[in-house]
Formats: sequence, C-alpha cells, structure tokens
Amino acid sequence: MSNPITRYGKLYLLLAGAYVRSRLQYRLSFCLMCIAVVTGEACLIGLLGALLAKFRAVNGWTLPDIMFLYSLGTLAFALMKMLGNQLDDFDRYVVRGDLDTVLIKPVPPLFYILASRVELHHATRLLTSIVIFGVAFHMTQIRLTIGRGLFTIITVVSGSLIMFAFMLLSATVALLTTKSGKLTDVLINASKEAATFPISIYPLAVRLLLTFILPVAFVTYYPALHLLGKDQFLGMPKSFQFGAPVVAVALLLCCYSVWRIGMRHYHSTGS
Amino acid sequence: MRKYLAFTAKAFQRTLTYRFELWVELFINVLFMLIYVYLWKALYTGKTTVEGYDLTRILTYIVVSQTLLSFHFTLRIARVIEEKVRTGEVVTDLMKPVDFQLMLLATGVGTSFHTVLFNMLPKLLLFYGGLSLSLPSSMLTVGFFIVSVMLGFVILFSIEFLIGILAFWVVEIRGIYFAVIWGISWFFSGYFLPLEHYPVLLAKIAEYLPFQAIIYSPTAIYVGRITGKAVVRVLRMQLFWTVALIGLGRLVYRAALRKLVIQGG
Repeated sequence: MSNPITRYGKLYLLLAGAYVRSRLQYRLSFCLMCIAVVTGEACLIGLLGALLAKFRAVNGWTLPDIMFLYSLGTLAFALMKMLGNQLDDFDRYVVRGDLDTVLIKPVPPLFYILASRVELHHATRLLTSIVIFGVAFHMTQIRLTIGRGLFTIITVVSGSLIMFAFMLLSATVALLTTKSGKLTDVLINASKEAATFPISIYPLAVRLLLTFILPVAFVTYYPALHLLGKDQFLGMPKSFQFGAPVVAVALLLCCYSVWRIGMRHYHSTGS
Repeated sequence: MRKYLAFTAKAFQRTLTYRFELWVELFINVLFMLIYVYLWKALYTGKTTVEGYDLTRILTYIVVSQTLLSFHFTLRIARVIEEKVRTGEVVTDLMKPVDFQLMLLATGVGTSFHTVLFNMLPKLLLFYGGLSLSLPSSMLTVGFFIVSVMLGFVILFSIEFLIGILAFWVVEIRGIYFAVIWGISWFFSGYFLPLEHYPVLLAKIAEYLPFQAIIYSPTAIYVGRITGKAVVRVLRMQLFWTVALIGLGRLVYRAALRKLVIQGG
C-alpha cells in the first residue's frame, strides 16, 4: 500500500472494471454500440472517399492524405473518450448533486470521476481508427521508421490530452454555472470536425483560431505536415510540426488550474 | 384532431423554455456549416461545374441540406420512446385515449416547428446574407419543396419510431439508434454531398432506400437539380415511403404491445 502509483492504479482498475462489468450485462446492447461506432466511422470514410474520388484533391491533399489527417484526429479522440468520457455530461453530475457524493470519497475528485464510468465501446473506435490510420499510412507510401512510429504515438497522446483539456474546461464551466450542455460539442466535436480537413482551406482568422485558441491544428494538421513531408505552414513557424506535446502540456496545465479554481468555488445545487 | 394539436402546442411551449441551449445549438450548427462551405469552396477552385452543380448551386445545396439536418437533432423520437419504456411512463401514455404513434408525431411536430422558427430560418437568412446563394426558380418550386420537406420529415419520424419501438424488446437502443440515424441515414441521406457525387453503385443503393427522401430529395428540388416531371416522381416516391413506413410502424407497435412488460417504476 506504500506506493501511491500502484495503489491508484489498482483502484482505477477496480472502479473501471466494476462499471465495465455492469455495462456488459447488456451484452446485445454493448455489441450494437460497437457495431454503431464502426458503422459510423465506415460511413464517414465512405463519404470522404466518394468526395475525393470525384475531386481528386483539396488544396493538394489527396484521399490518403485526408484519411491520414482524419485518423490522427479520431485516434486522439478515441483515446480521450476512453480515458475522459466521464466528463462529457458533467453538468448532470452537478445538477443531480452526484458530485457531492464524489467529494466525500477519500480520493481526489477528478481521479474518481475519471475512474468511474469507463465506456469500453470506445475501444472499438480506437481499433477502427488504427485500421484507418494503417490503411492511410500504407496508401501514402511513407516508409515506417522507428522515429516516425514514435512521433505518431507522441502526436496521438498529445492530441488526446489537448482534447481532454477542452473537456476539463467545459466541465469547469458546468461546475460554476451548472450547465455546460453543448459547450463540449463546440469545443470537441466542432473543432475535431474542423481539423478533419487541411486548415489551409480556411481564411486566416479561422486558422489562427485553430492554432492559438482551440489548438486542434496541433492534433492533426501540423504533425501530419511532418509525417507527410508537406511544406504548407502558411506563414507559421516550421517548428510547429513538433509543437503538439508542448501545446498539450501547456494547455492541460492551464485547464487543470482553472478546474482547481472551479472546484474551490463549487457550491452544491442542493438537489 | 384538436387533441393532437394540443400535444403539438405543449411540445412547442416546452421547447421555448430551453432558450440558452438553443442559442448554443444554433451557434454550433453555423460553425459546422462554415466548415463545409470552406471545404466546398476549396474543392471548387479551378473547377466550374461538377455533376450539374456549379459553386453557387453546391453551396446552396450544402446550406439547405445542413439546415434540414436539424430535424435529426430535434426529433429524437427513438430516444423519447426508449425513455418512456424504461421509466414505465409508457403506461400512462397507453391509458390516454389517443393513438400512440400520432401523439408522438404531434409532439415531434411541435418541437420541430420551434426548430424551424428559431434555428432553421435564422440559419438560412444568415447564410443568404453572407454568401451568394441561389433562390428557387419559381413559387411552384417553393411549394414542391415545402411538401417534399414535410414528407421527408414524416419519413424520418417513422424510421425513428420503428427504432424506438425496438425498446419494447431490448432494454437499450442507443446502439441501433446511432448506427441507423447517425451512420446509415447520414450516409444515404445526402447531407454531406449530393447523391450525384456518389459512386454509381452507392447512388443506386441510395435510390432504393428511404433515407434520401429525408434530405436529398427536398434539397435537390430546392436547388433546381430535380425539375419538371421528375419532381412529381420524387414526391410520389416520398409518399410511398411515408405510407409504407407509417404502416410498418403501426404493425410493429401492435406486436410490441403484446410483448410489453412493465417493470413497475
């Protein structure tokens, strides 16, 4: 019991495992959810494929390039969903008063929230994205080296941390105002959608937004430039291709301190 | 008829109370539409007309189809039925001297009417202000468009109703709902790109499915991609799906009633 890391590790597995087991009681429903995730992803790739079969390329980005870009985004998204999905409808925690029961537990609240309600079907999304990424990687004919492999892993982890930071931010808003409702949609879904396409299609203002305010361009675009060997920095520093981990850590620290402030000012709704 | 109108009015009023949420939703919709507008502008650089769509027509298509897509977000009848079955609220509905399917349709019309007024029309006006889009060629086209939208709406409702009714058999329908509505229906409804842009085989499959009647048909009429006698043919196809799916819904519903087990709250 001495090492806190093993202790929290065990506790995480215990809490997550309990919820996963309870979800697996509805086996049919779980299977359908997995099928749904795969169908959804397949349909989207189908649409992108149909689009680019006709138009060949968007600003010099062909179908494999776009698939590559898209899969970097979904990989990060899936990883974030597996680890941090519980913050998605955090406003309900607050409105129903469930947060109060979390606060009296002898573990840090954020740890408890993340460890409970881990949805296993997001693993299907992760697997699907790995397949899409693999196919795209193969189609772009990039040579797989250890360096590129590591770069990809770091990119995906950083990407998921960036998205997780958005999640944390909108949970903090929920904490203070009791409703974040669709703010998560703006921060996560809209920005992820925007990052599915090369940001060179947007006007300067939007590109600045996606780089500096909602930095999803670091989840997909800039790292993809490096891996695909493209030179479309559009006036931004070239070092941005390696910027993802830095942005991720900085953003996460920022959002985590905002969360801490939010927790300090939390008042129960009393319901 | 009067009692169903009451359901419509109540649903409309209920939606009015969630004003903040609606503003945020409108904002998100506009963001998504902007992404697609930029995407299509980039795709059309150096091209004039593809599959009968020039830039103005394709942008009009995207704006109108994205606007119609809002019915998907609003209706959510499948989830409503699932909730009713899970909580047992369905019992009180069954005791009411109204038809279950029509009652839900009336409720859906109420919520959606609100969406039309406060979400869809503002979006259209906004994009007409900001982009150079085309208008329907005549008042008759506008009339056909409105009829087509309404039929498409009822078809979407019937599909959602069918999925919702499955909740009588399986406890959770989230998976089926997502797969059909956000997967297959999105894919074949033509919300993201007109069906003319699909590979031949997929376009052929789409033709035999009801999903294209929800978004593609009304939008193609609006932008003048479907004209003349073809309009009548499309409307007849939509009418067929409306009747068939509503009828199928009633059959499945009747079977479901025999299956119904109330958990007792």
